[in-house]
Amino acid sequence: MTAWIGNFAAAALFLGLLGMGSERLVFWPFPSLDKIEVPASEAALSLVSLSLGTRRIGADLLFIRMLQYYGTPEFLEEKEEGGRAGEHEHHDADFGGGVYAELYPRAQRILSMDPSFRYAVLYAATALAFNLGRPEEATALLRSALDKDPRYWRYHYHLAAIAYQESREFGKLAGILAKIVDEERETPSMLKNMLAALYVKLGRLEEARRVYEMIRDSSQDPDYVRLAEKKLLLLEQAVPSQPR
Amino acid sequence: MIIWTIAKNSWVDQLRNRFYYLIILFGGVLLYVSLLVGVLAVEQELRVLLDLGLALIELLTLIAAIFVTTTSILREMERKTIYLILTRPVSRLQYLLGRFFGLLISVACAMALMGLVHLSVLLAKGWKFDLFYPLVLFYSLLKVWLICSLSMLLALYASSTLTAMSITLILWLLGHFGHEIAFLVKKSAGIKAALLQTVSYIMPNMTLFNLREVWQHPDFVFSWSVFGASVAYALLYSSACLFLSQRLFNSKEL
Repeated sequence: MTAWIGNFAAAALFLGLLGMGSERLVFWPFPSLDKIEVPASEAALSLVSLSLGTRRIGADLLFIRMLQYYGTPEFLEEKEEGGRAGEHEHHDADFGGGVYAELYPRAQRILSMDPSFRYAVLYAATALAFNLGRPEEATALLRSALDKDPRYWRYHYHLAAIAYQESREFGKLAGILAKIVDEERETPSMLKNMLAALYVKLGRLEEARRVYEMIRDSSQDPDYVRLAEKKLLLLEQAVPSQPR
Repeated sequence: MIIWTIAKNSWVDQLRNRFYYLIILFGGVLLYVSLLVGVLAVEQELRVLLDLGLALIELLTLIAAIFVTTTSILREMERKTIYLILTRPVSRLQYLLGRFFGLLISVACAMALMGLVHLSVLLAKGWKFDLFYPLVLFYSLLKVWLICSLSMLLALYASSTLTAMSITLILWLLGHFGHEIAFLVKKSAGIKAALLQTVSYIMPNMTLFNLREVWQHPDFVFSWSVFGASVAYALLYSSACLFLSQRLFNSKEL
């Protein structure tokens, strides 16, 4: 028995020293517990994610829930009760309008679970600034993201874009959005669609056509692909494209 | 040589185990489910597929490993089939190591199989192969390796499958809470803080092997020295557990 206790104590000491040394090796870019704010409804999900060491999955699931929230027409139930059952607000050219008061806190929660989830930040910031008319929330979200990921240049450009939108300098806004937008998967199709619509507004139809083509060819969002096809058809009718 | 023979037999034994196939089948089903969940993430489908797939592979392998480790030796002891081996010129240490390595081989095979399925799904979806992918799986294997040695120790100590399984799972969870425990230590004071700190050091540090959570982070830099230290940590930790297991096993009256 004494020998067994001695063995156990020696092993515990050894493991303790090992653990002490191992702590310095860990790269852990996630915020501590006190920085994570979740409502009661999402507490279980967050706890499971943290316990299993799967924060990224936690952020993924929160992101999917945010997409579902923002993709569901607001006040639909009230409308159906008012005798307009079956008449849905379809996602169309300028879809995404409404209030969606929960969008900002939801995006912040994703950021607290995974500070490197850039797409989610850009998606929510675009929706808040350009679709929902809440640039102050978009700015706050981008600033929180920049605190955690200061070298990501798209956040800086996005902040500039919001400033141009506020000062109604649409030419400059198009210029800065063009820098953010490319075929990378990190850029939400929503943002590309915004830029194309802006080009149309500014009468720069050829550039609009190019962006819509990019959405059609590279977007994974079928709604935006359909929308781009529709817009390209309209542009073709307005200004037939030159043979290349 | 004797260790290798026992390991090979142990591996073949696992291959005959229906539970092993069930886990792999379940892995396939879950990977299919992750495909459906991925669709919900629209433009982030690949990210979700990657995250869910890697985590599921790790968790399923973990469940299989804990189940097999805690049951195999105890079952042989209960059924007395262990005599067939130990009455030959095989030491208890050789038996233990053979069982352990056999288990590791079967875990690595299951992980590789599920990884291949997952990888083919990812590539079919347009993912560009990254050399970190096999490394992430290797780190998950290190985690399972470490937890296997721990569950073997607990199974021999507790002599009860259920108790050993439960404690191993709790240790697995605590191992992922390293930073959260460090946070609690900062918030505590006196003996409570010292106790928490000591326990956190003795717990297996699972965050060290949590490469799947950080490899895509923009600030992550791979370092061979950290890699070597992580492998050494897993080796030393499991060696300590195996040492204690051997001491326990030696003191048991079969």
